[in-house]
Amino acid sequence: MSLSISKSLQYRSRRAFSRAILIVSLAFFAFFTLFPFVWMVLTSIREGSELYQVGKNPFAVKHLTLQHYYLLLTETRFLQWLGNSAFVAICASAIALVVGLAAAYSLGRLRYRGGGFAALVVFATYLIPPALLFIPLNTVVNRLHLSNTLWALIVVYLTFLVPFIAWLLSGYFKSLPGELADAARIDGASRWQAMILIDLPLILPGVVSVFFFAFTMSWSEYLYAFTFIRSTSKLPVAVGVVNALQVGDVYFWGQLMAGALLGSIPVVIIYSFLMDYYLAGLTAGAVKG
Amino acid sequence: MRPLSRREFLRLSALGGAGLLAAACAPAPAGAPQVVKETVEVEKIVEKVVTATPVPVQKFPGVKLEMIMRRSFIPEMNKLQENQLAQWAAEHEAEIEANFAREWREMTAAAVEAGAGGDIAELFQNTAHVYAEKLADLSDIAEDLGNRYGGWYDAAYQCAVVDGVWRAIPRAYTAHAINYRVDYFTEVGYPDGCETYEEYLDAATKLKERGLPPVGNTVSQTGPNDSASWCYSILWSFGGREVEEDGKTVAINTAETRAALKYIKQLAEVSSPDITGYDEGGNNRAFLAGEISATQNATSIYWVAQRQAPEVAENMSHFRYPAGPAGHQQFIEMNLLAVFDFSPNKEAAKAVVAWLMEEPQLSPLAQVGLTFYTPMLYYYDDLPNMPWNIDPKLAPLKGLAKTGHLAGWPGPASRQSGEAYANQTIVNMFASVIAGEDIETAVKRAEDELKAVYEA
Amino acid sequence: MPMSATPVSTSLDKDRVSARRPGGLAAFIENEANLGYLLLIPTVVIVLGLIGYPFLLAMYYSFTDKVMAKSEFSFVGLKNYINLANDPVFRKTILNTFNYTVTAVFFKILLGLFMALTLHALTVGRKFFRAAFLLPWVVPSSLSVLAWLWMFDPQFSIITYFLRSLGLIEERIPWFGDPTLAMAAVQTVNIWRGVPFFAMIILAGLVTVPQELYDAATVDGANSIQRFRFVTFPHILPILMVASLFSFIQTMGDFQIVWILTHGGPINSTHLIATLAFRTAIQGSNLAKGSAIALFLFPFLILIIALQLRYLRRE
Repeated sequence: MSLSISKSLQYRSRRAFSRAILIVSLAFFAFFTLFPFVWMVLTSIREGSELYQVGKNPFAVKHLTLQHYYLLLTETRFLQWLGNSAFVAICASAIALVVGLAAAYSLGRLRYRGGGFAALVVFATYLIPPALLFIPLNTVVNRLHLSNTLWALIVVYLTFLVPFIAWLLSGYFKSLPGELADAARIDGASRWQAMILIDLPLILPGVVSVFFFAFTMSWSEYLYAFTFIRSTSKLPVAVGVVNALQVGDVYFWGQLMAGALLGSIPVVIIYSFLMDYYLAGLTAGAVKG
Repeated sequence: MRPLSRREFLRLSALGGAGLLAAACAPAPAGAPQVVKETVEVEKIVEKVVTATPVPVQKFPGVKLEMIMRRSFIPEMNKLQENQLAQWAAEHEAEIEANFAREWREMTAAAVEAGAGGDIAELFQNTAHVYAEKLADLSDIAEDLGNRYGGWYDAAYQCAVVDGVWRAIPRAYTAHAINYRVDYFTEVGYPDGCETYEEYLDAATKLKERGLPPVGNTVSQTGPNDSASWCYSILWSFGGREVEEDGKTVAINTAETRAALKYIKQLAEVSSPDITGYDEGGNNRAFLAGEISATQNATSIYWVAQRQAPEVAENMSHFRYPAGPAGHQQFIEMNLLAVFDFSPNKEAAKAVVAWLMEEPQLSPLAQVGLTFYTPMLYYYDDLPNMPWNIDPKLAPLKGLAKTGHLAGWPGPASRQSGEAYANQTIVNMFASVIAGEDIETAVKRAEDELKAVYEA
Repeated sequence: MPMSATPVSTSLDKDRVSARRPGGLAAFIENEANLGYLLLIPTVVIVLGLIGYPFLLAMYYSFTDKVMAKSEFSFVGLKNYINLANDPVFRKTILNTFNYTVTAVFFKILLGLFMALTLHALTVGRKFFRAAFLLPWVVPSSLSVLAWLWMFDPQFSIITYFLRSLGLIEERIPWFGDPTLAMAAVQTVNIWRGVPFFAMIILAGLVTVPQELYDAATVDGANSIQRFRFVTFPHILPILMVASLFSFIQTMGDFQIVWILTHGGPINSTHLIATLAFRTAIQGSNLAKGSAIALFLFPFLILIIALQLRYLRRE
């Protein structure tokens, strides 16, 4: 009797203890991941002159203002940049998905001479850093007559999106049970039909997740965007905001932070809606990769 | 930054840059009614449409020109240039797309290497030497301008003439000077600034002794422009050099270099401890916050101070870099206009460049630019409406290009000197001594780094 | 490979199909290898044209004295590589890259694991926190890094303000003025951005651990640490390996964080291979040397892939 009481006490105190740990840990991560955003918000809604006050409490916001947002939307081409980013990210991800999906099926589901080697090459290409490629790539872009167009970015983004998608999705195809497709083929389905009608729907969560991954990568890309696009009107948001608002030794912090926040919202919205797909996709692919 | 509405913007700009023009004309203290009057002045400068166009205009119907330009931190400068170019385009029945970009250097590099993309580019420092093969010959324009505007500064030839051919037109240089707090410097006995580096060290020491805000001269990799300006200038003023006049023999390992390093070490001991961590804006912010009494900078501190910290603007002024044992030697930042040789519209592009260099266009740019953009032609030195002839606080920046040099001096500007500049070898040599490394090791490493560039 | 499981059915299959669909594309792609090659064509075009060609060009440049804008250049053999081997800045950069990558990835795994366990243990608000914690990963880094630049400002650093308020430090900290602090700072930003990625991947793994395994372990008298050690960890290990590989590669090739925050300074103490290559090739206009620097990434990456593939095969 007494033993079980002490046990339950022990259990309860242990629960309380782990609860405490959980709260501390949650607080830590909330602070670590979110503080920069809090600071961005604070910087974006206060007057510029309040930023440079030494020795005062930096959280004491005296004058709230939406001026930075207003100026960002009226004095820069922010909305246009947002549109450019969306266009580039959607097109690049969609094209990369079609191309990468085909390759993934080929590498993950079909067996033929040289397949293993091809898989290795595709994967290895993912590793080449953009800092190395962008000068020669610029030549390629010019030869394709895409210089200073959004299509230049779409084409160039394929260099990191396609290998990535092919590799990740080939893991999915490998992990699929083969029986369904086999059965379909015995019932008379062609290889093509088996691929489209049987295998593809099975990896749909993976496809969705990979698409958003690709979308995010395109949305954030910086190095290619700032070298291949010359026209201010054609910049994606990640470059446009920085380009317009940090010049030489003068930083327009308020507008920069406003731009950073507004520029992130589309991606954040997408994620918050499709998070479950995204996560489900990540695991299945990665485990069998 | 303080948020600026368009109207406020003009009003503020009036207080600053070009508005000084009116301030000088009217000796009365600046008051509210005057501000309104100045607004008109600035609007005039930025929106001005030049009526006196040269008569036989060669038109370029249907031609579309694309320009890669340096984006200025002064919004009116970009606006002004946009207006000017739009005017040219209209008058010549052509189309111009001018892109003012923060990454204008990288964009130019990509275009040059690919041999396509854009017609006109604004070049930085000595890149005319690097890109020479891909740039059109602009000698006729340069010589004509030199003849009509009192001749070019020496530094103009250094940065633009490659093997006897002008590959670019030096449009303007950015001069750095010591930005200082007059109130604090007066307390330590240097109300008008310092003539020599010894005096500057003395002033810095006294500031520190008296518990006043110390000096804070950026020596950091994060602030490449400010740091290079300061470190090269000190090196040269102490008689040091990275390479001989042949542009091949590395000559950093000298007693003069050691003297310069010894100086920076002494100075750092009485400076703000932040100097090795400032980025390009770090010294600006420290100065504006009243944390330091002096720093090297172009006029961006003054520009911001006039808008956001009027009490700082009132208490600050500029003096030119001090002189050392080898005199006053100043590093200057170059901005040039070039036409790509691969441009399909070279004639039109050259016409634009030549037109931009005429006084009606260049003079307002220099006015709005507040010495951030100073023409390289002697004619402008004494032009009454130039900022240095209007605002006494900018007067010390007048004619700095006379003793101005490019990286690599006294060797010729070259691709190699550009690479050494990009490697920040000189800046890092100074920074490592400040960080506590002994002078011999620092010099030796810099020598190795320079040899890898010049003698490879 | 499901298709080759029973050779009999395959051949049977073939007979049927060829009986029903004579000739044409349909018949062509009915062959496994043909379909395989066909589906691979677009990827091969992209890989060869947009990666292979530029890559080979860069490799070729690294054996020449090619500088920017000059059309003439000559073959110099291994000279660039030999020069680099003797270059103190380059040697420092290799060490920096190694330090940066290993430290950052280690902390990303560690913190990612804790973040995932925390989220997994949450009973209320899990979805909310999951989405919130992912923010650093989804926000374009060119923008979020600027926020960090502002937070590490020598005078107005909010981090310094916190440390001072807590009484941990007296003086201001010149974050980017000190080699060790600067490296720690850029690593922190990289970790900040990368932790959510690890956490989400690990979390996805945690969700799939069957509850029975935990129950069985509890019955066997395992405490929570043992349960983690023997049940959870083995289960998420494969996914963790894959995530680590990605992270290693991404971190090693990192450019933006260092470029925006420190430019490789102070005194080259935060230069990474990618930033040094960029500085040399683009700003220094020495394409040959810059290419050689960037190519140094390759052996490391090959090594990582090799290790990874070996691990995956064993699985």
